[in-house]
Amino acid sequence: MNPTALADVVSTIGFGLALLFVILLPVGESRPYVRPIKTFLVVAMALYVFVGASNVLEWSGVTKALDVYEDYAEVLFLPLMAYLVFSLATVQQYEALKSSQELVLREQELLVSVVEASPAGIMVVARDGRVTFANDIARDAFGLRAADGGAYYKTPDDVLFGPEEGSVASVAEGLRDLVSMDQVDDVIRYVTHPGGETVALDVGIRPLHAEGREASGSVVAFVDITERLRYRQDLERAVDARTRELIEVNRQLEVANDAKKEFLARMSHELRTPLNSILGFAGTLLQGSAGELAGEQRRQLEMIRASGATLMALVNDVVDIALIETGRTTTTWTETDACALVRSVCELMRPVFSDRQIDVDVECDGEASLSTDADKVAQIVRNLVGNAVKFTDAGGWVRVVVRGAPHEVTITVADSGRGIAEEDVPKVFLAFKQLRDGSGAKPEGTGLGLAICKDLAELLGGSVDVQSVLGTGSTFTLTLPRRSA
Amino acid sequence: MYQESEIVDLLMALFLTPIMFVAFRRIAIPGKRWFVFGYLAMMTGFVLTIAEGFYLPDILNFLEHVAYALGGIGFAGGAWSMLVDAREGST
Repeated sequence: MNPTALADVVSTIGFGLALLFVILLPVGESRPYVRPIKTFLVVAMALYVFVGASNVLEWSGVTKALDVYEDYAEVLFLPLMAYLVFSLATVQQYEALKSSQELVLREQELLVSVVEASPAGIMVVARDGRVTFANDIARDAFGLRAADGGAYYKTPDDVLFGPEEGSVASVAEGLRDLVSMDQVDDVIRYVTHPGGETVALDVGIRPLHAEGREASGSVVAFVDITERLRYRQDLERAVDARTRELIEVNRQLEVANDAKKEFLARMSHELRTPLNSILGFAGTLLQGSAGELAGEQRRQLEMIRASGATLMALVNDVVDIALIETGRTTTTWTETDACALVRSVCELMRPVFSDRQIDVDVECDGEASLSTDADKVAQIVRNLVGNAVKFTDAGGWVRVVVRGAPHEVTITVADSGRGIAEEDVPKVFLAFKQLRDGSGAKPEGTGLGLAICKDLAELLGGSVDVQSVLGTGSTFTLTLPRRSA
Repeated sequence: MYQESEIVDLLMALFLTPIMFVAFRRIAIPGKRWFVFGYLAMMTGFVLTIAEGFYLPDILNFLEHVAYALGGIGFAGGAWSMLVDAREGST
């Protein structure tokens, strides 16, 4: 076969197959514009099927009659192809725009649904104060109604809107004022309706910025906080009333407490006078000044004197604490050597240590002079050491250590006594509080000793602390400043 | 010699082809490269059919027919790709 004829056969078959495939292309219902495009492609392919077939028929010697029509077919091919390409480009642009539009519509529907379902009032306000969009809550709140065109809302002037309750400004003026602001959060505005009802709105604003242009208006969102404000005001009023009650109760308690302290101070003072008489006369009788005493008489008189002494100690404690609490204690500041003072106190108490068979040791570590009230310090040390001895069994020990530091002096009283339960440690300095020992028995005394120690230490600008382990012993530490503040 | 219709074909090809290519670049269709190949083969045929009137008539005439054959193959390939894509998309 002639090679040119073979090329024509291939051409005819190729365009024929292309024609067949194009005819078989499905045209969807949703894209009806594909049908004319397909038709143009069919015609273009058919033209060259015709050209190829005409050449084949000519080479094979069947006929040359079709040759004159080949030129028409070839001239039509290019415009058809051009139309096809431009149509396809247009269709694809149309489809892209259509899907963009659908996307925008879906987004808009979603946005409108969110805005309408929102519990907050939301509206769009132009710069001139016109409301161009408002959801149901916003329309109800401001009494907005559609304008003649239906697209905008009028702002009725009979609804007042302003920063203060009862402000005389129309909604339009109030909104114009808001729109002139930039981003705003938590601005409270009041709306007063024609009926006189006023509601408080918590307003937030965001400007509507078009790309690269001045804001065309603002999105105004608000929540009705009338009820919340009312509850808050009620709550504040209730709190104020309760606070006033508490202040009054507190004042009455202070008066009662002062009266109690005054009573204790006076009564204790009045008790000391007859007690001194009882102790004095008991001593005189025991000395035999009023004649010799029989054995039983002496024994009972000694019981009277011992009980009187205990009662006197109790009264003295009560007087001390009452004086401290009422601020009537006086202090006399002198240069004092804490070490010598502690040694002298312990020396005076040595008979007690011997009676109780307790080993008492005093140590001094460093120079321990300080400016303080020596009598008050001695009283504190006496109470702490006496307390340690009282709660230490025979054969035990009490160790007193005086230590000088640059700005303070510490006096530590440690014992091998019964110790204090952890939960009781915070209570040891409370007045009239006596902790039960390990056997559950209440110890002797008034329960004022450690409270007096604490008050006196604070009076001297220092402090008393305690560390204790139940069953092992306790350590009380008195800290005093070298110089009073 | 050349015919007037062949000159018209060539002029139309020279005028429309650049515009069509600009538009065609934006189109996304299956078998796009087959169609471009087929179209260029057809354009080559248009040039050769005029050239054969001046030089090497036998060889250029043969090459013209070969160009049309290649054009047929290109369009067949493009149409087949479209058909396959449409059927896969519909299943």
